Amino acid sequence: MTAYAQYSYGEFIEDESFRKGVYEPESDEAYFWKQWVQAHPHKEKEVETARAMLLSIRGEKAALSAAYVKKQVSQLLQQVEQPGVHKRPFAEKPWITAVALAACLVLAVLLGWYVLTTHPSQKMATNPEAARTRQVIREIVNNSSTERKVTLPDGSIIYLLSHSKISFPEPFHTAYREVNLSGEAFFEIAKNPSQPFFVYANELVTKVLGTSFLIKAYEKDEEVRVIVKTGKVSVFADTNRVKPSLQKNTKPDSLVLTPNQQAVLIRRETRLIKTDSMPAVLPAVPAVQKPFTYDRASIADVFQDLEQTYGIDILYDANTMKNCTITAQLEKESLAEKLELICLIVEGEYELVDNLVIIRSKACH
Amino acid sequence: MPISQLTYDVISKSWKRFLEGDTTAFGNLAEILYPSLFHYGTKFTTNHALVEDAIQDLFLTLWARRSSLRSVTSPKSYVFTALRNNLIRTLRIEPAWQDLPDAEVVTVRQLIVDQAYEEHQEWISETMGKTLQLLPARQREALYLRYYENLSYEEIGMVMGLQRQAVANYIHEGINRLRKHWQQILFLLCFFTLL
Repeated sequence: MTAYAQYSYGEFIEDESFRKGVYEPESDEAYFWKQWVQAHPHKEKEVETARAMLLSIRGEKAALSAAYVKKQVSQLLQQVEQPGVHKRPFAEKPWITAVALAACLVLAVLLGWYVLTTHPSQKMATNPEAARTRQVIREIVNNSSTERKVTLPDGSIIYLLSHSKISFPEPFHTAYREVNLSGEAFFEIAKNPSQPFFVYANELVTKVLGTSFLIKAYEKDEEVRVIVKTGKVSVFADTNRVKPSLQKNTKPDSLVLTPNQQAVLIRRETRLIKTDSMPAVLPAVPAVQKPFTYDRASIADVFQDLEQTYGIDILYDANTMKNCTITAQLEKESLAEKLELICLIVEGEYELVDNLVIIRSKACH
Repeated sequence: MPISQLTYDVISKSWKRFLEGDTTAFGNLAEILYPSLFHYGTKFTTNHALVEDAIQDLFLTLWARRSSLRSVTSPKSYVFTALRNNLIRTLRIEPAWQDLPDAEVVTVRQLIVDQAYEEHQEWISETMGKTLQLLPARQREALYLRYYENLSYEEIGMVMGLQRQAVANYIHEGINRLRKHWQQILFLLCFFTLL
């Protein structure tokens, strides 16, 4: 009993009775720990940290009733006690097997038909005229020197950089959305899992459900580049556009990108490479360009500018840092340089984990 | 429910009788282990039917091969290992999964692994997800087996195909990272509730 009062979060986590109290709210242990915390309020922070950690370790719990388990187990025992019976209980009756087979066949045919008729890249490649007769192809060219904002029918936004061009059918197909890109553009795709979004850029196809990312695909460049800012994106080589002579020696690749990762397609070799890109590599979203010029600005404002520009989260102790102010011009610096300078000013340090920046700092006076 | 020490004893007793062909003991064993196996399985895929099938297969195989299981020292980690291997085979997830190094040419095989992994790894809970998501999958799995399932480092090593020291490292680092995040988040939460 007395030892618990000396416990740190780590020792609570190692304690089996503590874990049982967290994972089984109905148990005696849960009751005990509730009482114990009430009697030792100064340990509440340690206990809560340990509890939160344990719950996140467990994760979401799939619902499973005791009755259901009993049913599964009795099915199992039935099969064990009658040797020679098929594994699956419903396969004991032959007519069910026949019906199931027939249903599978019908499904397979339907699926094949669906894939053949709706697969986007295939359709684009084999039947562009047919697509054109039913849909209007809209083309938007940006020959100006500044970027141009384009809103698509589904609400997605594309910032088209100068000397770039997009085209897309209007309306979109009901099963997918597709856009052709030549040049460079930043995409903010409206989320719609039932209607994936495809971008065709030179020999590269990018498939997303709802996310933001940059594609750089100028006709004469030797590479095609995709950089992800938020969400998840899968990227693959467009087999219909890759030159047949190149297709033989290298199979088309494909990969999944998460925030701050980028894919580079080396066009000559049809080779896809995945790398981590520092957030600083990402361009600021044009719509939220900040001046980054501060005159005794509060630290909260500065961090907010950084969060909006680079799509990162900054975790800091707002209370301790409430008196910290920044006077600086940071417009030309990269994200890493900005963070370093800010930390220099407030005498703190920072740590970058994925999209999260953690700032540690003392109070300013 | 996680399995406590008390249940551990029941498991080893039932296991012994099951090896001798006792169907009642086999039923008890299945009933105790089922929820744990199911919960663990759902960490690899959201397809619950697939997990149920894998568990049924697992127990049928156990029964059929009971005469060759005498050397099994830890029944619980044995069934966890079997389920894990089965799911990985079915889902084609690379068992020796490792995060990709900074820059690397991605082969087609890796890519399949990559995508299957992305689609099937569900070590993420809605509310706590963001924190735990920051940890690599193997760290998360080691933490889960250690703290939710009360497995020892040796048993986790057996399930995940790792050396004991590697397990210890995963857990040590996982706990450190989790703590950092939670202390900050809880601190901020306290701070906001005070406001």
